[in-house]
Order: sequence, then structure tokens, then C-alpha cells
Amino acid sequence: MRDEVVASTDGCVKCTICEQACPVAAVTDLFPGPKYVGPQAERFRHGDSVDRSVEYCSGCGACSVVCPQGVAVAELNIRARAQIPRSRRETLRNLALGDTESVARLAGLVPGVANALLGNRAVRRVAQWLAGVHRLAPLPAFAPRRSVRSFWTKSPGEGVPVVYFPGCSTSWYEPWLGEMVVAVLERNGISAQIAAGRCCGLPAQSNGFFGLAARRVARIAKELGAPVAKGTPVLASSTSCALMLMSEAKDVLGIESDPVLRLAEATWDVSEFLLDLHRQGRLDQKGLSPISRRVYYHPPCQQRRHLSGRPALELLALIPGVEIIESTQYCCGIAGTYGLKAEKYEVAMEVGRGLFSEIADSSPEVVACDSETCRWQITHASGVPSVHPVELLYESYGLSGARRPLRQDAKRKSARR
Amino acid sequence: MNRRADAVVVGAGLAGSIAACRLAQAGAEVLLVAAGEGSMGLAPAWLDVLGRMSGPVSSPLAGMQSLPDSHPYARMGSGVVQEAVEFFSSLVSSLDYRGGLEDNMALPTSLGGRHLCAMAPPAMAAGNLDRAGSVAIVGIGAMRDFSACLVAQNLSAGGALSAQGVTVDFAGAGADLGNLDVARRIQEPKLRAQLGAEVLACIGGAERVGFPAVLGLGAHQEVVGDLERILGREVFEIATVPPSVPGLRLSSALAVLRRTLGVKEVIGARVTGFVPGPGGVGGLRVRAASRSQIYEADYFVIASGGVLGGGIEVGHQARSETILGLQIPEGPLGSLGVAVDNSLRPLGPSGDPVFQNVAFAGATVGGADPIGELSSQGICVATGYLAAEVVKAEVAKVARAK
Repeated sequence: MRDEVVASTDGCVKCTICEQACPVAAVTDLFPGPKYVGPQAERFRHGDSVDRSVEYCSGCGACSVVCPQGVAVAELNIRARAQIPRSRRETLRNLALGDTESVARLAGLVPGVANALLGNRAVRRVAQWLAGVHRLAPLPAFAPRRSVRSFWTKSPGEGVPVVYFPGCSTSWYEPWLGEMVVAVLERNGISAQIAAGRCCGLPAQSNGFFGLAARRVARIAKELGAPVAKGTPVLASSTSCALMLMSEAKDVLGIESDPVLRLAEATWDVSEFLLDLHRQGRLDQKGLSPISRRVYYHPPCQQRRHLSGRPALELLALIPGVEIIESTQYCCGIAGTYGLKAEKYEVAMEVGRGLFSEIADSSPEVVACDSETCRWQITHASGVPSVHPVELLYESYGLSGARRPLRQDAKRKSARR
Repeated sequence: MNRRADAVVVGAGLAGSIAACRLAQAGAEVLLVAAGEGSMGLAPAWLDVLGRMSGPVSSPLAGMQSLPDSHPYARMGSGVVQEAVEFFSSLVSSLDYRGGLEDNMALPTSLGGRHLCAMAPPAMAAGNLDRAGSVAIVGIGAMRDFSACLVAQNLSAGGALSAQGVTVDFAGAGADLGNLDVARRIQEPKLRAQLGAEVLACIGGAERVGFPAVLGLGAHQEVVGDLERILGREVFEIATVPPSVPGLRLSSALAVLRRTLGVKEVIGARVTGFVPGPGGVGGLRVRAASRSQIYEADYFVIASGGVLGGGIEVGHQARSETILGLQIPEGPLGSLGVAVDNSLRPLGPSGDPVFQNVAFAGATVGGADPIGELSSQGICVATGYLAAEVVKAEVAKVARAK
């Protein structure tokens, strides 16, 4: 079978547009740039690893987005990164960061204990030394069990059926966001059935565990096979989960099975779906009451790879009274689990520096961003609270019940240097 | 559900950006879709309008008068080209372009040749080779693709100019540095002060100092200002092989303009075809991450690039335009393009427009030999501008009818 990703290297004319766009190469000499480690080095690889410099690719995908020749630069580099030989300690660390679902299932049993440990400076120092997770990196707090329960026990209301795929972050860290998504959908006549709490496989893929990632995607495709076959849309509020289900399963992992391809076609980013409702005249725009707030909107790098424009920005513009400042920066640096790693934390903070200073300069009251890991990084580095765009819609509709715990932000702030 | 806008522009290069900005300024809702970021970051940021016909062209405006009728400039008339170039200058006024269509200037190439162009940013225009006096050309040791001595030798061989080449270390960097590496490092005031001091020690009495075009990205003006202060003489930039730092400055300036003017854009997505509609095209089929979507509009501007940019596909037997599937007549590779009428509408084999609501722009347009005649950017700017004017007039007609 012809591998489209590898075949795409032939399109590379070495124009260096990807090198110009790469946010990592711009801040560190450790990464020689996407063309260098991608279409160029690929010619020497034949599936093996030839050098470690590709390790510093964050997988943000800027290169693939800007390439006018259709070369799958990021996809090549994510694959090449997975082939790098690792020490046992590195493998363990990557597994802990890559198998988010197992870690969350365990820690989620005792969220209080887990949070106390992860919030403890001494423990974090030891974790950095022992496990290679940077002591300052923005790790999320596990949600209290009652708010997790409150999300999972929500019964679907009346309306047009969709499936809501919560992913790890909503399932274990931010269940209130899931409640808000479901409530905003219901407000617009959409009834969301909540899919089982599963990891989409992207963290496993980013950390080099392609087998695990493939099993994760296949499981979801199987579990959602029935509604997808009926033509029911699958909505994700995490832009990375959406990207995995939409395209990475095929383009990076190389899965071409029917259930996975059908799931890809059915998957929507929640903002893209809501904006589509609006275009059809089915979104309750009159019900949006004014929120007078200065909001800085940053589209995450993974969201740009959905290739659907900036739907969240257009949705936010529907809320009366909101003053929106649009980000001109590409990446916050975190790139999923990249910026959590001890050797990459500083690089990630440097990548995001332009974004953080732009946020500081525009002094917003809140940052809106569609990806959870970006929100954690942004709040960690800028001290400004960050929310998913749907949280603002929820507030504007005057809905209540779900609430983001205030202490989450306060706590993350305290992790700053 | 399909997306809808007043106009859909395909391409984020020079032509697409000009068209999108012009339309957005006129109040149209513009949706821009592009396969990638456009190739402005490859070419030096100079504006070639017309530099060569049977020999060198000293005045683009005069030269245009003797172009064949099928040439895009001849179709639109030199007045429109002039308007377009003025629009471009005022649009990117932050880059402060110098020159005009009356006279070409001769700028040094990365090998020390003479390149004729109509306009250029001030740091490049300062390298005009028709100005008398002695110049020093500075090379940076770690940059392997720029040889100051070769440039100086070739410039001196021309006779009019006395040039001397010197090569200096840049902040002790031993490894090889790319254009972008230097451009980013030099934004650090301390590093460029060191570089300035090293250069000052070895340029003698040269009246102007030429550097490879790597003098900063966002902080370009500060870098040039500091170097001129340290050296006590005028500094200029010489075009390099890609990546082109001045090209990148232009590309970023246009990207910021598109955003601030409210152009909605989707970069990284391919247009795979079209659906018919009134006027010919009803919508374009765009491939997103997992689904195709139709982008509907009343008018379409297609600036998807030439053979290199992917707007035109060349097979063993036939050549075709990739979005509407138009057949391209045989010709030299550098001149392949869609045949258009005076409103940039595509023409069929019979010579009549085959789509009424589509205007082509940029390298996709045929009838010219942009590389041979040194007219690439001029054609992009002029056709991008004219495409927007045509669409603007049509949008206004529709608005009046409503």
C-alpha cells in the first residue's frame, strides 16, 4: 500500500516555508527545523532512527499547515520521533504522560491525595529528578469525585441526538466543562449522549506508543460504531481529541479501517458544530445576554489543523458586550505533554513567550482557548484565568448548575516561579 | 452546512493577499482559503514589474506600451498597473517601499549580479548599483550561502562600482547559520553591536556597507539604525538564497493586514473542485481535516499559484488548472497560465469567458513570462488588485439591485 505521508516528501522543494513557521526552531538551536529533520532526513531513515534532533519537534503541526506543496511534515516527524531509542527511565516517564487514561483512572480514585502530592514542591522536585517531569510544569488538578459524578450522571434531554466525546480532560480534570457543553447544546435543541470516558490516544501517540494509541482509537470507533453508522455527529470539546479522531489516526498511525474512517467523518469540534447551527439559523442567538468582559482569544495549534477557520472566535463575537482581542501568536509551547518534560519545559516556555507577553500587553480579564493543555500553560505562565469558549456561551445563556471551581486557577497560579 | 461569504479568495500569496485586503477594505465579507502560507518568504521583497524584454528595460511604464495585447498588463492598461502598485505601497506603508514605475533600479543579487526592479524596501533600495562611490560587502563566516568576496568581485567587474569584500565572525558562531538564525540573533542589541564593531575595523573608507539580507525580522528598522550609527555610513541589504528574510517581513505584514481587515481565513486546506451555480461557480469544495465543505460566494478570486505553487498541473500530454479543470494551452513551463479576458475571467477554447463570476490572479494567469521578463510581483499585485476591483463592482451591482 502506498503510504501517502512518506510519498508526500517528494513534493518538498526545500522552499523553507516550514522552517520560517516553526515556533520551536525559532527559539532553540536544539531543533534544526522541520524540513531538516523531516523531508530531508526521511530519505536516510527507511523507518529507522538516524538522529535525535527530531526529539525536539513539539508536534504543533505549523509546518504541515503552511506547506504549500502538501508535504505531511509534522506527521513524518511525529513518526520519526517514535522511533528514537529510549532509556528505561525515559520510557517510563513517557508512558506515565502518554497513558493519561490509566493514570487518571488510578489517581481519580483519590483526587485529594493526588492533588496534594502534585501540588507539593518537594514531591515535584523528586518527580523531576526521578521521572523527568519538570517541577514547575502546569499539571492539572484532578476534579473532586462529586463533580465527576455530577457530569456522568447527567441524563440526556430532548432534542436532535449527538454524541459528546469528553476525552480525559473533561472526564477527570474539568467535568464542569462537559456539563456546560451539554447544557449549551440542550439550550439549542440538541440532545447529547455522553460517550464513555476514554483517551483518544493522542498523548500515547505523541509519546511514541503507537500500538497503545491505535488500540485507544479502535476502541472508541467500535464503541461509537452504532451512532456513527446512523449518521450521528460526534462532538469533542478538546481540540486535540478532535484532531486525533479527525485525521491523526489515519495520517500518523496509518489506520485505514472503516470504523475509524467513518468516525473521522463524523467528528466535529464543538465550536465548529455550534457555528454550523448558527449558519443554519438554528442557534438561539437572542438568548445570549451581554457579558461585559475583555476576552483574549487564542486558537490552539491543534485546532488550526482542523482546517475549519476560527469557529470559536465567530461564536464569541455573537455574545453582546464581549470585547475580543485575537491572538496573533502561533503556539503556547506546551503541545500536549511536550512542555511538561524536564528537558523541554524551558523550550516550551520560550516558544510561548510571544503569546504570554501579548496577553500581558492586552490585559484581558480572561483568556479563551479551545484546548485544555494550552489553557493550563497560559494560566501558568501569564497568571490570567483561562476558559473554553463554550464556558462563556454558557454564562451568556444565563445557565447555571455547572461551575468551574475557583481554587483551580488560584492553585495553578501558585505554581509560578 | 456550507460556508458563505461575499467573495471567496483562493491563495495566501501576494496576489491573493492583495485581492483579499482590497475587498475587505471595501466592506466585503471575504473568506480566504489556501493550501499553504504562500511563497513570499522565498523571493526577495523587491517588486519586479518589468525588467527585461529583448534587453534590459529601464522604465517599466515605457516598456509596457510595447507588450503584446494578450499580456495581462496590456489587457488592463498601464494606468491600472500604476493604481495597483500605489495601492500596494499604501497597504504595506509600514514597509516604506521606494521607487516607482518610471524607472527601474539596479539592485545587487546574492552573486553580485544586477537585478532590475521597480520598487524595494528602503534597506534594499539603498543598495542601488547606479549610485557612484565605493561599497564594502560584508559576509558572515558561518553563513555558507553568501560569499562577500564573490559578490564584491562581480560587482567590481561591472566597472561602475568599486567593491571590497570582507568576512567577519558573528558572535563567535562556529557552526553554520541559516539566514533566519542570523536574522533572529541580530535582533539582540548586544550581538549586533559586536558585529558592528567587527565590521567597522575592516571596511576602511567604503561609503556604503552591504550585508546579506538578514538584518532582523520584527526589529529590522532598529537593526539597520544601530548598524548605521555604529558604522557612520549607509547600510544596505543584498538578496539571499531562500529563506528570504525581507520576503518574510512582507509576508508577515500582509498576514497581519488580512487579519486586521477582518478577512476570515483557512490556511492549510486544499480546494479540490467546485460546484456549479449561477454565473458558473456556486461554491468551491474545500478539504478540511476529515470532511469536505463547500465555500459558497457570489464571486471567486483564484490565485492558487502557477506550476510551482500548485495552481497548474503539468502532465505528460496535457496541462490543466487544478480547481476549475481548465485546459492550459501548450507553451514554455514558465509561461503556462490560464487565458483570461480584460476582467480576468477565464476564457474557453473559443475565446469566450467560460465562468462569469471568477477572476484569476497572480501566477495562475497566463499571457506573461514572469521569470524571463522579470515581472512576477508586478503581475501578482496588478492582477490581485484588478480582480478585487472587478468583484467590488459586481458586489456593488448586486447590492444596488437588492
